[in-house]
Amino acid sequence: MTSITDSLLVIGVSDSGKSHYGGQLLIRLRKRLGLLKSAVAPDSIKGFDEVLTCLSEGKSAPHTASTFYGTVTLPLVDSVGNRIDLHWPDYGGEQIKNIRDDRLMTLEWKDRLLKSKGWLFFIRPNAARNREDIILRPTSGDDLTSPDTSQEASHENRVAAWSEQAANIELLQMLLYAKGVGSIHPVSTPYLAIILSCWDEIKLPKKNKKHPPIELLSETMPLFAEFISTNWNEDAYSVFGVSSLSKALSDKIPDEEYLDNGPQSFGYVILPDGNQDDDLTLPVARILERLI
Amino acid sequence: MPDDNVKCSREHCYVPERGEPCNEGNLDVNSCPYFRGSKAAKSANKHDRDATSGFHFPWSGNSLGLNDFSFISGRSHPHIIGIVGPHNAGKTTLLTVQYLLLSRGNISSEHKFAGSYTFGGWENLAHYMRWKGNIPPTFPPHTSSSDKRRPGLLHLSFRQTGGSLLDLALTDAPGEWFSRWALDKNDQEAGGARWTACNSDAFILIVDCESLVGQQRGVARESIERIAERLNAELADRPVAVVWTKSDIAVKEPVKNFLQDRFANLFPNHEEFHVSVKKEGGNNRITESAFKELWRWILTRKTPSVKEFLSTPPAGDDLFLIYRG
Repeated sequence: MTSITDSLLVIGVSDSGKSHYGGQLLIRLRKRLGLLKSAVAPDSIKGFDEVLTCLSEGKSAPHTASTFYGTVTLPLVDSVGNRIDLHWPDYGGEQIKNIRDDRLMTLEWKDRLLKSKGWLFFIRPNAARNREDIILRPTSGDDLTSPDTSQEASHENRVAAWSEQAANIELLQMLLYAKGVGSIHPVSTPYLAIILSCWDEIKLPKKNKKHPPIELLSETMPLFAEFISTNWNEDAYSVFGVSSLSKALSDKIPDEEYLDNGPQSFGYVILPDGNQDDDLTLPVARILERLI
Repeated sequence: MPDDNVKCSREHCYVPERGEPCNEGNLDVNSCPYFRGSKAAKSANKHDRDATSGFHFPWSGNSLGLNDFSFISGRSHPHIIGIVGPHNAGKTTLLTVQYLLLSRGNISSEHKFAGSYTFGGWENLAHYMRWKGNIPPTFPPHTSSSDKRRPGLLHLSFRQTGGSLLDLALTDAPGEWFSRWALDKNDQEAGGARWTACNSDAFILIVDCESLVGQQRGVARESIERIAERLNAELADRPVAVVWTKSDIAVKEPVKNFLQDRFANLFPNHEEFHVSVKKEGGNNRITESAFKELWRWILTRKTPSVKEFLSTPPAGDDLFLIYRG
């Protein structure tokens, strides 16, 4: 049996969709509905109890506590019968934000990075659109003025003012450095799966047309997309779209369709080629193919 | 006399005397437990030290300091572009617009963006030229520097066709330095200008069209010519681009021709660019193609074959990063 202990790292700030995806992934695995299947019931799914309960009630899950970091060990079997132990984490996304903003990584996080061979990097495109600047949206009327510097921005405000793509590039630079991955040659390990989450909330130009997620990434975060393609070997990264829930859920009012059909009937993946598939395990399966 | 009670206890960390960033990566030196006199150092006990312990990154994200530069020069010869011009000429605005254009991706088919270790510096500038809801953009603030010996260095990295990395550092310096340097190259307040002249691999000379109209145009012309002559004296065959900023403002032909003739004489192989961030048809637009052409010039300058740049040993004990072959 192959043990992929701590080889998979899930990276995403708060509200990037990690917990909902993790919960739906567990449901798919347990019900053996995807390419990856659970070999036996995991010893404990305590870390995902709240997410699973909310989804079965047809509600969205609350934010994971900022200091929490827990893993669920999933004994899996792949399509050719290999047994794999997958350790799937859930944690407060503030931990990622703190690494980025405070420029300090706990030794526990560094240890996880050192062991990791595959990264799932969650980005919520609707929250990550480039801010309009003078090129995209010229000003009108009076000439540009000089800034009011009478109130200097605090460090927190200056950091918060970064564009999402700059913040995400900086985060990846920091993670690569902490892992000891050199910058001179393109990266082969860790394998990088970019997950564009909450795909259902994105307004796509034409419905019923295939939209490869890499195109959306290039449109919303072009410099980030260029950074990935420049620094990773072509066969060492993929871009997926994911809608874990298929629609927005309330945290208070149960969704009737979820109550009738169960959360396993919802959620889909947009594959790198733009095709849609209901198998939410596919992004993880892609990474695991590389790790075995 | 520097106060030993207000300095860093770590070797090769030069805060605060030289305006260098904190070697531990603390953006606020007062939160660094090694900075004597800081609140963090005064209240440091085991618990506090544990709270601040962990893995720090060797770059701060702000403009490169000498130690940051060591970090980058360990993997390639950084190519420094010195941006030279008087006060209010548009140096910082030029940098900001170049970054905003870069942020749209695919600035060059032969140079692919590979990263930056000064996103803090770039984003601080870009923030001014972005909309904040319905609050319109402004120009970025004038550059000031507590360290008169060296300009701020904003870093970008590109992967070239063929796979090699090109590390660029663009200088951001107060214009007052260059005016002083033009008058007296050994002026005590012009150390940063001397550094720029000595260490840059290529130069961008900024000519402010706005200064060349009105009653002060004679003085402005003299100032620009003086800076150009000083640059020429230090140049030693390094390439120069002359960038006319605020080019929407029409400069009288005699003034323009005089300067263009002077530049042709001083910098025989220079290229000229005319850029603007100004009103056109009721909107403030940029001359996008001109800015992009300037990117082409910046990215296609030859990289240095040999550079002895650092006289101080690199910070850190990573033998891999010390190698500069």
